[in-house]
Amino acid sequence: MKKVLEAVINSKDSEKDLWSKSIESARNIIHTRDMSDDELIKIAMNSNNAISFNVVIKLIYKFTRSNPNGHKGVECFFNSVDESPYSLSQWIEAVEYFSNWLDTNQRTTPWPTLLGYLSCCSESPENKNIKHNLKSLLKDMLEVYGYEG
Amino acid sequence: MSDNKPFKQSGNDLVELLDKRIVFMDGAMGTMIQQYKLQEEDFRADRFTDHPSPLKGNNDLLSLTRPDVIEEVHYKYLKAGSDIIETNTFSATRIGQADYNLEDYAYEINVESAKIAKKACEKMMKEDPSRKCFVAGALGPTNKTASMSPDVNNPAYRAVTFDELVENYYQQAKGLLEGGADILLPETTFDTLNIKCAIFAINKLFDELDYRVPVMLSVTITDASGRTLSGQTIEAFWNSVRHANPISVGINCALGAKEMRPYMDRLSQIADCYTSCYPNAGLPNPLSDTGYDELPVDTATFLEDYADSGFLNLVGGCCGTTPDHIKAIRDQLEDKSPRVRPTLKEVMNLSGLEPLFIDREDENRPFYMVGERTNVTGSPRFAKLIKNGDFDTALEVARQQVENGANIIDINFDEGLLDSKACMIKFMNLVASEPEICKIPIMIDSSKWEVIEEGLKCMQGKGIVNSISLKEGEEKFIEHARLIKSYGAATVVMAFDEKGQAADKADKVRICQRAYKILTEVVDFDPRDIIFDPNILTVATGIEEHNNYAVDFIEAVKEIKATCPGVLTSGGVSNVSFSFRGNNVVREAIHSSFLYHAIKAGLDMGIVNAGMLGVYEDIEPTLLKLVEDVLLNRSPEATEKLVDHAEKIKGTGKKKDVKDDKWRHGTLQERMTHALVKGISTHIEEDTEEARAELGAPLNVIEGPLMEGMKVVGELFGSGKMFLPQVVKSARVMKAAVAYLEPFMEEERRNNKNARKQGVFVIATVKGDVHDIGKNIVSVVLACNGYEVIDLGVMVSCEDIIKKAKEHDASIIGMSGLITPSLDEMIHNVKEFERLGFTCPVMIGGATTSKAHNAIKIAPHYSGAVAQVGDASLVVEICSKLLNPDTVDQYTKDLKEHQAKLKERFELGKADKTKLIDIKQSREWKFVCDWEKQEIATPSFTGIKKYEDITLEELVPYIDWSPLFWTWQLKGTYPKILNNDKYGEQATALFKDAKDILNKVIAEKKFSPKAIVSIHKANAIGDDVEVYDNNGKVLETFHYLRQQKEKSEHNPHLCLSDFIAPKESNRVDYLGNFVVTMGYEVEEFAKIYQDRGDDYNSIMVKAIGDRLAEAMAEYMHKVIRDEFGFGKDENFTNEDLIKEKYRSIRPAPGYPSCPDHTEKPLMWNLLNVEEEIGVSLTENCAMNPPSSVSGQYFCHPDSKYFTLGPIAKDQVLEYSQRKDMEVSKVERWLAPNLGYTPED
Repeated sequence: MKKVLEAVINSKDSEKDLWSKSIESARNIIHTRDMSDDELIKIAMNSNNAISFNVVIKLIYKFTRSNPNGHKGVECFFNSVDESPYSLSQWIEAVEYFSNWLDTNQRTTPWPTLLGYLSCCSESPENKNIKHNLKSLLKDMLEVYGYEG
Repeated sequence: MSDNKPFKQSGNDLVELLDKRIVFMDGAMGTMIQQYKLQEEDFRADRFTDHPSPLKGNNDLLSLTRPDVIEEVHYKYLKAGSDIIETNTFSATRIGQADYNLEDYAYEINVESAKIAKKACEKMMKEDPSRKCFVAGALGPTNKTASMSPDVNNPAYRAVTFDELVENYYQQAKGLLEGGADILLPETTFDTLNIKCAIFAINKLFDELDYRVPVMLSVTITDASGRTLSGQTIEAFWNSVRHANPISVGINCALGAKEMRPYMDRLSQIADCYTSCYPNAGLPNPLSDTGYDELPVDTATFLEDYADSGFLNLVGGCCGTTPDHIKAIRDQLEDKSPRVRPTLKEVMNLSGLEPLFIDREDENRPFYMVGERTNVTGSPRFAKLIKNGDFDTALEVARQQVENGANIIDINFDEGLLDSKACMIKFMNLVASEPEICKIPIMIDSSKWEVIEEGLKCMQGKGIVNSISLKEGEEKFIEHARLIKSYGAATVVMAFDEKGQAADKADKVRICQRAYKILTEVVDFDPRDIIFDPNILTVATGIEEHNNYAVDFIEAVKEIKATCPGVLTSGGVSNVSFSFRGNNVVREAIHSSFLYHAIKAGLDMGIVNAGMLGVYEDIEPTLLKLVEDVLLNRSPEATEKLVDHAEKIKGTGKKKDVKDDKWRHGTLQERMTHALVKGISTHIEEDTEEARAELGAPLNVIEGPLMEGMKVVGELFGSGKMFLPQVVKSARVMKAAVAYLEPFMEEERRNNKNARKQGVFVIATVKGDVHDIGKNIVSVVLACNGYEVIDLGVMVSCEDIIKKAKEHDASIIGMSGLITPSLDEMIHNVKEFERLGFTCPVMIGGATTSKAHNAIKIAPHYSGAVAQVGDASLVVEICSKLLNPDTVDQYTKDLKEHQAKLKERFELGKADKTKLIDIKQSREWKFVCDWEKQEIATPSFTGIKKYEDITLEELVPYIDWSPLFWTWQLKGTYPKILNNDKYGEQATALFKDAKDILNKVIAEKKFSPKAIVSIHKANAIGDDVEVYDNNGKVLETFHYLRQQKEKSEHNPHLCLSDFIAPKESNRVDYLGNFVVTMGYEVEEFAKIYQDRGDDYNSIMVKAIGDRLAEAMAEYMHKVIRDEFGFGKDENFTNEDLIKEKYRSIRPAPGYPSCPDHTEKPLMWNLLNVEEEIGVSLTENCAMNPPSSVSGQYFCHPDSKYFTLGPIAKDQVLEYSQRKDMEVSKVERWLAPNLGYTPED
């Protein structure tokens, strides 16, 4: 494994074995053309744990397998984060929540649509004068409005 | 044609095997290669040591540099039980290898990959002579899509053409066959047009060889939509590709077996060839031993179910699968019976994004309409749009045809002044980006073959060519038919031959039969893909020889259908009635009658104006007889008689509206309920008086039949069957009734001090805010439900609210606000209510409020209940709960508990800090522009201009109607909302009422549109922008804020000042400012309706005022873009304007990019706004009158709207110094953006 990726694993306080497997797997299954080392590191560093990291990787992987320009999947993700008032770590937490919600409801959704819903959540009037935690905002939106994506 | 060429022995062996059992494919190559942990040097070997690009990851290249690895992987799969192994050539096209600058090696990679796979097969077959092993040459989809644009702003653009893909696939297929591949397998397709290119290329190759090999096709379904990436359903995909006569069709990749099931189920039912499936091993899962969700036993178990369900002839694995998976699959499925290929009905199969099946044997089949309006020869409107380059509106024509029921649309650009080929390509590419249009099949119509061919190259679906004929002789006919077959289309064949157009029945039948024989026997054309058009010719021309044309056509159809099995028939219906052009009544009657008879004879489809077909039974009997006498040639005088009659009825045909007064015969309650529900106030006074006479006390009338009627309104509204505009109309009727009773109630109150009152709701828009549409709607809804509403208006101080609440003994106090500073007012107000001992419930609403903000910032300051209501439809229920002694305690308790939870969640959220970069660093990562070279547009003037001569009519084309519907809580965008299943009817009625008000406003010049605009020279000084007079004196300095949230490296930290040239660049740049208004006349006009008790129109007037103000802002923006020069070449539609496709932005203080409202007074000062056009600012910087818009113009080509997001204290401190404003004041105004908690 590349030294930069090993450094990421070493920076984690716990679950080093799981992190090692996760990062190696991520690097193997998603081509560097679709996700650079820097982008992978960024996602890893901002994931609270290996499980949420794997959820994001899984969703990006799925997008790259069925799209000629797989890098759009990562670009779309980072652009959505940058255009919102939320950090990458909050987005990853929210993506994990959303993915679990979809699994519980036995649904799947395209990656760009999922990101679009999260962007809408962060722009919602509820969020205008009081900044919610993104995951909580998502939870409320799913409960009140549901999801048709 | 290659269809008749024989297979090589391996092909025959494969067919034999497929007849006996399920055949096993291999698993993933990529997953296996990963296990070797190859490095860059493995990919390079000696041969590519000096190659300039990195090569790691180019797995196909390993066939040249590490063939041992590839052969070993192949062998492992064969050992595990694979019958078919795929070559290592997924990206081995010139396009695919371009990523690595190895285009010139693509051919060699294919040859060598096939050789390696063949070698592995031969090794296995030598070890075990009972085995038959096959090499499938894999053709991947490439990384380009032929039917989708990669540029969302340019849907007509394509990154690759049909011809380019054909060239790539041809080379690839040739290399694979040279290397010894037994099968060709275009796979993992996400775009059907890509695989059609592969099919075309393969057929082209087969034409050159004396043999062919089996072709397997495999598609990727991307997600839960069940469609390909390019939008086709699995049935549509199959219809598009079945012309390849593949040995199998299947699905692979993207999904695991569990998710793939419904699509395999469907495919196995509709494919008459063998079917294949090779799913992924679920999704990646590092916790799993294999790195994927599914263990071999799991995948095998899922696929065993497939086999038991009869889905499978070929099976294997894709990403994540290994030889262990294949072994498990083989072990579990080996003894399962293969799928039995179904015998399907022989129908015509077409497709757009969705399939269309036409079964000529089905007696109940409908008549299929081919929309004719997207044809430049038939539609002057469409021709004009295309000639003007207005393709967007031209697409609307197509969309309308589909909405009006067309099953297919005919597209034609045959016009001398047009570049027909270019038009066809552009329009077809645009249609492909419109799912509502391209869901149906397309008919490509041209008299020029090259135009037809370009259209076919843009089509992923299976469409129809219109048309070919024997006009140019058999050879040309056969050539065109063969090409149509290669493109996978059906075709219309006209009844023309070398001698000309067939006019009589005998000629029509003869020509069509001849064409049939050639097509089916020489070209091997599927008869189900043939549509004969025996020429519908014009009748009633006055020429006797033409009188039998309709009969000839009808009888020819019958005979053609009888003697040419499998074919369909069609015709251009409008042709028959050309003699009556200009007389639509007669034309429609002729079309309806003609079709009635022709369909009975077997006509399957016709080119018509979908939406303009009348019903046969509805034709006026006299007209029908005359028309049929002509069509059926029943008498020599028929034409003359019809012509005479046509003159008499020309221009008639409009139906009169019949007034429906039946409801007036109902009981008193029924009449009053009807009037309230329908919003009819014509008889309400009369009925109210009748009720008063019957019931005595006027309050009995209100609480009796009127409230009964309003209950029905409330129930309909609550259940979503009635919408807000109707409720407000009902309120108008209720108000009229109550107004009639008012004098009687007044007298009763004088005589009886204890007369009962309803609940009192005191409502106001808070100090500093002028917006009241939402408040007015709530007032009306509450009034409808029996509340006494005391509406205090706008900009109401706390003291006045308190005074009136005491005076009227308010049951509830309501506060409304649109702008952010109004929230602070609400906090102040509830603190005062608490201090003065108020206990009544408080309700807050308005766009700026939210449940969370209320819970955290407002409600904690008041002991009583403070409820936030975001939707007018909920207000009655909440009021009722708050005022009912049985429910108020529980409701208040629940409300406060919920608010406590929200507060708790907020506190948790605060701990989660978004990382903010310090302001100095943010500035280093600003938007970068090379100011030396940057083009700066120069305006035609600098200074200030006032515009008072703009007419209201000029503004109408700029209106964005969608917010009007949102005001009335109808969710959707214009114009789609007019056809919405739920809201469409109401939206249409509302829109009509809005247009009526708008027309009145325009006709009577009710509003006074005014604008004041400035363009000044400007430069950025840090994050501020100075504007100068022509002598360079600073007139004003505007202050902006910069994003500080940490971002990805490639995204700059924006500030609006970045879009203005900095002073140190020594460039002259410009900043514009504007304020537009419709004037106080809006409020004055609205008051007229309000005073009449007509809340509906009062609210509508204000809503129209707002729309016109926004339209004026859009209009002035165009004026300014023209002043700068870059606006003059624009050719935008209203939709384009709404989508802001133009250069430059016009943010206003308060927008997400510049949230500080206190910049507005600087604009007012610079433009002297109040004096010049009469728009003032309240203490909270709301504009008065409300129907006003302001902003600034930034004209940099890259200027864009953005959200400031959270900012840090270092920027706030600096900003307060720049603005010379106290930090606490800055923090108050920027509260929503603070990335820290300010000190109290």
